[in-house]
Amino acid sequence: MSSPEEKTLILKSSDNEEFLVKESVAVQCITIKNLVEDGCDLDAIPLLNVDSKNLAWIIEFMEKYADSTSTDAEKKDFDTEFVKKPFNDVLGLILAANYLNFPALMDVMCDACANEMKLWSVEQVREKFHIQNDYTEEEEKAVRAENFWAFE
Amino acid sequence: MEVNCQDSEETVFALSFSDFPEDVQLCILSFLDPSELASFACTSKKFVSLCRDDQRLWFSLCDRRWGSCTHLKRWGHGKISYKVLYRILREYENLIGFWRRCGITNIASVNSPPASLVYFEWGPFYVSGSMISPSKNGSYEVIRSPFLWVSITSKGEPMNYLDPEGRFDFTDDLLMDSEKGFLENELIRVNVSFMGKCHVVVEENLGSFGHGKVPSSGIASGEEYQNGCGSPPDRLMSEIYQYLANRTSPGGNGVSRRQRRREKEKQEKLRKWEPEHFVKIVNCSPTLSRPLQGLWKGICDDMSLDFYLVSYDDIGGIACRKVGESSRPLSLHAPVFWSSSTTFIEPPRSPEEYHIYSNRMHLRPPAESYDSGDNGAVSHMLLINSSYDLVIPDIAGPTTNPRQCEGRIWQYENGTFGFGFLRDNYIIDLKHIAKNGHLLDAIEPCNG
Repeated sequence: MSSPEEKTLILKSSDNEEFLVKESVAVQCITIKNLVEDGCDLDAIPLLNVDSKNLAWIIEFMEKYADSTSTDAEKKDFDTEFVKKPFNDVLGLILAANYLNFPALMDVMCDACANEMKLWSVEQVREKFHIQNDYTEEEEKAVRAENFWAFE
Repeated sequence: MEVNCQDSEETVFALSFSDFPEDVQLCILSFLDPSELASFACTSKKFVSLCRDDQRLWFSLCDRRWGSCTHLKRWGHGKISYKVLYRILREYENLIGFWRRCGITNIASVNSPPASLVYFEWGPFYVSGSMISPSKNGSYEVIRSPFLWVSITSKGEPMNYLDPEGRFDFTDDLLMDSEKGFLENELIRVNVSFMGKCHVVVEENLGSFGHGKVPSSGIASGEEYQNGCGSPPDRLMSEIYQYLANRTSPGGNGVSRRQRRREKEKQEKLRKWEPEHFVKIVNCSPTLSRPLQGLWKGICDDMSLDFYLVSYDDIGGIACRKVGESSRPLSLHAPVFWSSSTTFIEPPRSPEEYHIYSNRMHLRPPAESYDSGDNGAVSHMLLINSSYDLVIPDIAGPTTNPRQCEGRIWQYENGTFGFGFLRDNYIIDLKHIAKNGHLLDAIEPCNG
């Protein structure tokens, strides 16, 4: 049995593009790790909910994080650059990270998403997230005034 | 659920936040702070209960901020909501750090005089306050004597205990017992009240009587106490007076004045401990622009270990004072050294300066054994004075005549420094009391 360090997996995106990734790198995604442990890795592993654009990014992130020579400071710099993507792509990566169960990527992308949200008004948050405003005007005023966590 | 991705910038992301899996919603929201969560709840009724009450979300918020400091699930026996815990920890976080006792002090025991330096740090399910005093064993070690535990009941109410003689370890069992009243005789139940972010009053809890109506989260109008010397400014003294003046017993209807006075006198007789005021020592560690700032320890005149506080002022000067056992405001103490300029003299040093340094004896605690290579070479030098009597007006810029300043600071490569005066041949080498929020060289007090 070949050692896990050397084994390479084939990951197939939803649009049928194949990517080669070392097993030791890919198992940062718990979903992939489970599939490997269940013996489903003989052929290409199909990732039905991840397209090639996202998968390429995810592999880039995985390889950076699996690299034992990169320091925390380097990872932070990498993250800062990595998250500089259009907001829709950030959301896409969050959902892909969730599907693949990749905690490190999930945290970095959700943090980036939250940082964007902090800059927006309530109206902008609704717009970007397609949230339907179901408050009446009075209700909305009341909720804005209400101090759930004013810690009085 | 397929992600709708196209290359166009105008791509409208089809999913709404509420379509996201719950894990995703919780993860994104967990990176917001409470006021931002409140804003998010204003977007739709759907998210109100999520933002307001979800235990997983509030646990994440606590975890991100304090997960590495304390055992979140043990606070209040794990019975309180994490939203309540967030509020509590946010308040208690203000305690963390170094404080000075000022005002009335209680004598803890005959053998140990009350230490004026106090250190609050995170415990597993409480914040502990310890007296920090220099050891007498000839080393750089400091004695850490825990005396105060700041915690909560399983209902989220404050529960604080004073153990002036340091007889107990604060464990889960103790906490359990204390809620049943077992330890009421052994420890002193106290109220810890914040008056502003840098002033705390610890007062015996005598039941419903006899303590002032100070809100426990009273943050005084957002002002930060900036004076690094740890001495109370006028505003603080007026807060103390106001606090004392407010200490009236709550008079219900029909309770006569005489009766109230009698009951108050009875309470005063039972009082085991006088209220104490603590003032925070802000700026207690070095920064890049203030490398000498903070609390240090080193040998003083009688070859015993002592504590020093080095503070930078707003006009480019620096002063060092001993943090002794007196409870007088630090600014009233004469400085050990001071300088009106904090601009270091860069190497290389003149032959005269080299001579001033090289023949000195390094004063270190007698039990410590190390060689001169430990701290590294001298990297920077500063001219200092020892007494305010020698005020040299700095009109022409930095003084170039070394004899006008009677002393020197020599900063070493490892960040520590030594200081000395021209009148003698010594260098007092100082070390940090704490680094990165952790006390260095701390030992337990030896009992008996």
